[in-house]
Amino acid sequence: MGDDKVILVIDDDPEICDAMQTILEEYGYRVCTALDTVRGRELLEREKPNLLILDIMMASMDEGLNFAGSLKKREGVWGIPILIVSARPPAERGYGRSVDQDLDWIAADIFMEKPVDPEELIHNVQVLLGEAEAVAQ
Amino acid sequence: MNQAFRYRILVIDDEPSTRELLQMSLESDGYEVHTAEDGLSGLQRFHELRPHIVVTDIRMPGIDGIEVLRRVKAQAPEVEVIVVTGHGQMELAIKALQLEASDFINKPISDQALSVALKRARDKIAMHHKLQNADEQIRQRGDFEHRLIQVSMDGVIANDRRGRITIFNEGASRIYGYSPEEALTSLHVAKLYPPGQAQVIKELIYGRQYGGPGRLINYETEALHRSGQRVPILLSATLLYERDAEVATVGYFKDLTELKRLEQDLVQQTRMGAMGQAMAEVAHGVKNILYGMKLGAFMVDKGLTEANLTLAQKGWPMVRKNMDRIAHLTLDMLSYARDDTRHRQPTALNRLVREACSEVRGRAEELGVSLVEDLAEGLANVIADPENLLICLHNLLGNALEAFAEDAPDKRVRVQTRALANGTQLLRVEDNGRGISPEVQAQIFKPLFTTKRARGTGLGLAITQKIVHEHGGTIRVQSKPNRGTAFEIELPTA
Ligand SMILES: Nc1ncnc2c1ncn2[C@@H]1O[C@H](COP(=O)(O)OP(=O)(O)OP(=O)(O)O)[C@@H](O)[C@H]1O
Repeated sequence: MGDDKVILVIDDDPEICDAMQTILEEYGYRVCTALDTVRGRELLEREKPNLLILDIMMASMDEGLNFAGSLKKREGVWGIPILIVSARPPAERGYGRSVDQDLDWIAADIFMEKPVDPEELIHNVQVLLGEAEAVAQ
Repeated sequence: MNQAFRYRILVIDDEPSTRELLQMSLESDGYEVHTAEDGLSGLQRFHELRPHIVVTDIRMPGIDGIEVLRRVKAQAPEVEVIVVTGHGQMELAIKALQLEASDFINKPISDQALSVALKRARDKIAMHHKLQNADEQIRQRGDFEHRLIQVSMDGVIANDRRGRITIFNEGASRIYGYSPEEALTSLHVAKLYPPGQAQVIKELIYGRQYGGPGRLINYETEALHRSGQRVPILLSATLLYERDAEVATVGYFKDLTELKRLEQDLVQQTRMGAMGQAMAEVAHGVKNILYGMKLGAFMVDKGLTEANLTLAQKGWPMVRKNMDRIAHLTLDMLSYARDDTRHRQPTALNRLVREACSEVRGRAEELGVSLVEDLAEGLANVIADPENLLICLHNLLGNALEAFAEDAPDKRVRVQTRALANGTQLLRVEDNGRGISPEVQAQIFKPLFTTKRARGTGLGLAITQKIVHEHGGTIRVQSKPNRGTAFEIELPTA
């Protein structure tokens, strides 16, 4: 459990943000939430989170993807792991490729399709934070 | 007097002095004058000369003036006959007038009386000429039009001022189910439309909304078939005038049944097509809802196993809310896919508005929105399924209540009803909320389009539009970003 780890959740649904915060806090993380990428960027600078959980179906899919992409191109504090949560399988509508083939392309370390199972989510968070071993699918 | 045209006058009198007097005075006035000294020779001369005007003494031996008048009029009604009467012959004068003498003058004949009588006769002749020309034109055109009317695919119906049918072609027969004979003898124009509608149409013809006054162009309404069934029609009508007086109304009726059926098919098709495409969208919506539900359930589970009541209490509302959303989505999808127009009845729009408003008032207060009803008095009923209209109202009110940023200063929603001049009723739901951008406006009636993510199914307006269309109504939106939005529904009245 990483008491000092900070997770940033970006999701435009405030209820989801709330729930994620409650759950992740239960696991001892400090959580900050943003309803849009503008606010998200601010929090990235200020809070220097260790992990980003991003819903890419925000106002538009592009917004989420571009945001993730722009983060991935940077080094330093920006080079944080990203967990993308989406209601759409990535092969659909313009992604064109599958997650496994090209995670880089969608600029995420882990891609999860909604409805995400919270236990799996926690597990993936722990993996990305180096607190757990990845399990073979 | 007209130079080129000389009126020919035949004077019949048995008194030579009167004949001479009349001849002199008439010739000096420019008339061509002929004379005869009794009835018989008078009639002979009449045949030879074909005069425009006959001036005849009334008392003559043999064939008297009355008889001359009768025969002249029988042969040539257009010829004007002036009778000359003696003292105390008023009864004969009256009889002459009854036989259509144009005038009578008393003996002794004064110049003035004579010229007045002649002027009157001339005027009548001139009028007659005009009428005859017009008659001829009308008859020629009439023949042509009659054929045109009879073969026209559209219904053509004319009625006189009292509403009696004067033209009823085969097209009209096809639409209405009456034979032309039946219609011409025993059908009143008001019976052509559902109750009350004839009056509405009449007012529309006099009004200016549809190309008038005096005309109605492409007005969509319903015809009342002989069987009592209603037939959708496109009506154009015009008033016919004769000498500034309105004499008749002619209506052109186009049967829209087939068109409506095609339209409905198309709507159904696009709707089904949209449904097909929409499956992925539904799945997306459902996934979002399930996601929230799972997060909530996770909290409840964890809270229960760890005896962490706070956590369970936080999770449970999420579960419940998302359950409601699934139910809501399912119902919406059902009412969108269903084609249900069976429960129509005369319905007071205002009553439904009050009902819907009272149902959302609590939520409005919670959200800090002031909800105002502005309802017109004395509205006619609309023919509608009240349950379905309530759904529309709830959707519009719900959207309006959700149209505000939380910290907006002055949140107002206003519901208006009005009777419109075209016989429909207006329902308007207006908010001064965030408004809708033009790009979004183009999408809002599409099924499953929403900007509210899991909080909205995106079916509300699609359903509302469907219901309104099924009721033969229209719905439109006016909106300015940051100023507010108004949805307007127009419904036909009973
Ligand atoms: N009064 C309004 N002000 C601003 N936006 C509106 C208004 N009414 C509708 N909209 C926009 O139209 C979209 C579609 O509305 P619709 O009612 O079809 O679905 P919804 O409101 O999102 O979902 P639901 O029907 O479940 O409430 C909304 O998401 C919103 O963006």
